[in-house]
Amino acid sequence: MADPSDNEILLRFRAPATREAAFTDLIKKYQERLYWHIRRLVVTHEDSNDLLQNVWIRVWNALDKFREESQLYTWLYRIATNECLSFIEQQKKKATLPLSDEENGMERQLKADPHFDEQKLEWKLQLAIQQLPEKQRVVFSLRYFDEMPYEEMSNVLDTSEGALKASYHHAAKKIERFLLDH
Amino acid sequence: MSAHQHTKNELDIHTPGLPFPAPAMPYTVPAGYFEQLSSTILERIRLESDELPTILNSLKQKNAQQLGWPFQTPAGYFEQTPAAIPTKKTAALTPAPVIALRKHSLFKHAVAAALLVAIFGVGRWYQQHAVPDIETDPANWVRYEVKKESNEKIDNYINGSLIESTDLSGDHKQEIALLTKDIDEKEILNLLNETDLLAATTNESDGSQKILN
Repeated sequence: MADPSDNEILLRFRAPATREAAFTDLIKKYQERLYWHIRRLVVTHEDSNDLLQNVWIRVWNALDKFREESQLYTWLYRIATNECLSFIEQQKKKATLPLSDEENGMERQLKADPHFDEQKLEWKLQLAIQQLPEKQRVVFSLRYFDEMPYEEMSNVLDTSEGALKASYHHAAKKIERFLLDH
Repeated sequence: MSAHQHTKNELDIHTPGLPFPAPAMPYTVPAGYFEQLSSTILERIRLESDELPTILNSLKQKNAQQLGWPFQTPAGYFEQTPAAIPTKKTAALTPAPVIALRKHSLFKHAVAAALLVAIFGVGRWYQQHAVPDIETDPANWVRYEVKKESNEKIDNYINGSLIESTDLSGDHKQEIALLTKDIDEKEILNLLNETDLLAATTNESDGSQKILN
């Protein structure tokens, strides 16, 4: 059965009798995309699960006020991205030991994964992504993995399309260089 | 052009070293995670939006003296609290004494400055009045000892030392007489003249005689 449209979900959500059912449909429709977007940024499942739950609770509280000026999914991505960036910032502040330039906290968590294999391209790519600054990591992830158009990314990140293109170009170059060197 | 094709073209032009489409995510997710996620979230939402306020409300109304409740408040505490608040408010509005921190700070600075001056002063005085050690610093020891004596005393010493040195004791006179018994008196006088010793002793009326005798 095809996923219900965003408009249909929103209409049902506004009616108290169908509110929870509509929200369940919304979660089911976007949970995997949001989960992987978060996971690419914070690496571990535990952190991703916590953040994803927080995102959905925020969505539940704010969905009534959602104005259909932007697409629902870009709004969801915006909440998830902000949640991740706040989390990463908190993690940085919590870190008591100075992290070396070569190995940041996320990189260590990535290498701690029981399935980690540096020889495999998919792991090498994730390792390369962790070398990027947070904002570039978000831009690269949205463009490369989610294939999000710049116009929509601009809504998610509140940044001009030109700046996003430049940021993505820099990020892609760095990752290409990392893959060639390793 | 589709978003997929657009992304592919972009990569082909600028970064051909990057694989496209993106390789599968290497991470794993616990089995059944996505199936249960919506019910987990809805449970949490129910707890936070419905049950939590109910629990908090019931806690608020709970009698403090009720059995099984671990904490106790004085009898009638909640009834009296609203009446006690205005009194507390008035007390809070009474201006607190203002302590001039600046004043203390200036005083502290002055004390610190005075202490510093005293420390440097004592250090300097000690440096000037300390007795130098004769073995480690002989030059300063001499300077120090000379400074202690008056100029007059030093002048007297310099002027009289040579004369005093020629004021020979009886033993020395005998020794000199023994040494000079075979030497002609003229030769001795010549030697004294050549070495200016005679000039130094002529202040005494019988200079050369003194030495020779």
